[in-house]
Amino acid sequence: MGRYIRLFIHFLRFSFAKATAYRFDFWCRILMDLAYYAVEIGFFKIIFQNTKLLGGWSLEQIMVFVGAHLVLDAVQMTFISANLWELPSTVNKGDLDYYLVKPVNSLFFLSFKEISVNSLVNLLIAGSFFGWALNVYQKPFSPVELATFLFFLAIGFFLYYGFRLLISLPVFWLQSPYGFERIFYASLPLMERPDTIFRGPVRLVILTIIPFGLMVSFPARIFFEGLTLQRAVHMISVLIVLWGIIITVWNKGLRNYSSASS
Amino acid sequence: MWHKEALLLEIKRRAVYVYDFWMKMFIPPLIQIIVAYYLWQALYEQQGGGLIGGYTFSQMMLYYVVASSVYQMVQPDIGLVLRDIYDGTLTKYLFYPLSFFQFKFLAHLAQMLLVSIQFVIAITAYLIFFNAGGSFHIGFSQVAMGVSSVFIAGYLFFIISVSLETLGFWVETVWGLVLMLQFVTNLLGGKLIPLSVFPVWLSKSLFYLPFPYMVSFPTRAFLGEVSMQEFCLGILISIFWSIIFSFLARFVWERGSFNYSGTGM
Repeated sequence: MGRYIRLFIHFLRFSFAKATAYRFDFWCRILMDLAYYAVEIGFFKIIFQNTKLLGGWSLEQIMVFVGAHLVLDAVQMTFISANLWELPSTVNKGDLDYYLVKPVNSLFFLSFKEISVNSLVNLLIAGSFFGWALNVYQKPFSPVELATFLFFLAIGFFLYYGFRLLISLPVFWLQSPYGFERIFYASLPLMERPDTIFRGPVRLVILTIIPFGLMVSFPARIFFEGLTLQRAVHMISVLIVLWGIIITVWNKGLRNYSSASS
Repeated sequence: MWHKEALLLEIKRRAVYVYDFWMKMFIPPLIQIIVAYYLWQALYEQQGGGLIGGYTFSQMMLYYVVASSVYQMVQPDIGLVLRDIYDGTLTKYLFYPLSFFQFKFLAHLAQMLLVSIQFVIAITAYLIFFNAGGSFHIGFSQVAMGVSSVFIAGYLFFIISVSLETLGFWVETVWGLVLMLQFVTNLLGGKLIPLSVFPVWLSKSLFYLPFPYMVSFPTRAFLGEVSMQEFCLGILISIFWSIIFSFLARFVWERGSFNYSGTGM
């Protein structure tokens, strides 16, 4: 564990050094994410000009949901987004060998090798908005309830990370994996809306096979309505099954992999 | 003649990766329509039916079917110009019988033509499955207004993107700015929510800006919601912004080409 922490600190140092070399890009990406945050918040503010409730949630609850979503987005942009974006290209070019021969878990190395420093700034901004939304939320809550919310939001992050990784793994067999990644990004609105608005087969799918409904909406519901054994078991079961599938597919993919040097 | 050859070449190039082509064509707008369906169903149920922004629920769904397709048509690829600047491959365009901008616009036009297939399929599906009361009719004038406004919207979105991407002559990456344009256009262009649902002060403020003319205006033209007077005014505003950004893109390009080395960045 100590080895992984030391390695992660090296990743951080390298990433900070790289960020200071490309300053325009640094500020550009901050502006880009700020525009995204403004659109997400603006969207719901406009919707609530026409209604008092959405999926049973008030505007204050929706702002807590949006804050949680922006925090999750900032975390994934900081730690995994750029790395997983490069993964298909690395496999396609046969450059995976460099990571496979390292004496650390290759998935860890590939997923966390570069940290987006600009997104750390956005994480502060998203966190501030989240804090504001919790502050204006009318129903009082305890530190335990908040900690539970953050714990299940962390599970939501690992669901996001896992599903994002799973979408990239077909690269081991397909010539062009970017088709699945486009579907992933096109499906993000399923995560950006409360799961309570969805019904029927779509609701079943987003709470199980394609777990977008579990990533932010479920933790928010746990916060608003309380933790139940059923909700906890549901989220954790999907997480375990998802990562079981990922590890199986990753190992099968490596057996199918032929490097540039072979 | 060269324009037609370049257009056909681009259409073939885009269609050659069959899987990518169909994935990009249908899945993103289908998911957007599914999300919009459940969102507005929840809102209309909360309201007890009626109108929101002047639309009934089925009219709102038709808006999203058309707006999703219009957006897919007019949105340019990210990196259309940027990739050539960063890779140092602008030089090859010196040997082409068309100018760089003409070639790139034809590439964008190829994309628009291919996505128009999706548009026709989406409208046909709506008419067959959801237009039970026969409330929506398509007339020649609607189609003519829609097609002409989509063409100008496509050029406008293209030239604004190009104006941003030509900053790539000086700075290491500008794709963040282009993505920012797309986020803002999603909301202020009327793709995420019809502009008639916006507060009146906001929709009035947007009237003279380019964003509504990239998605909302062509969508409303196809839906027959635009009078001839509104259409002429909207086209004039779109052309005005197209000219402004064309001059800006040309200005930035001429300054930036002095910075170009042809060796990539």
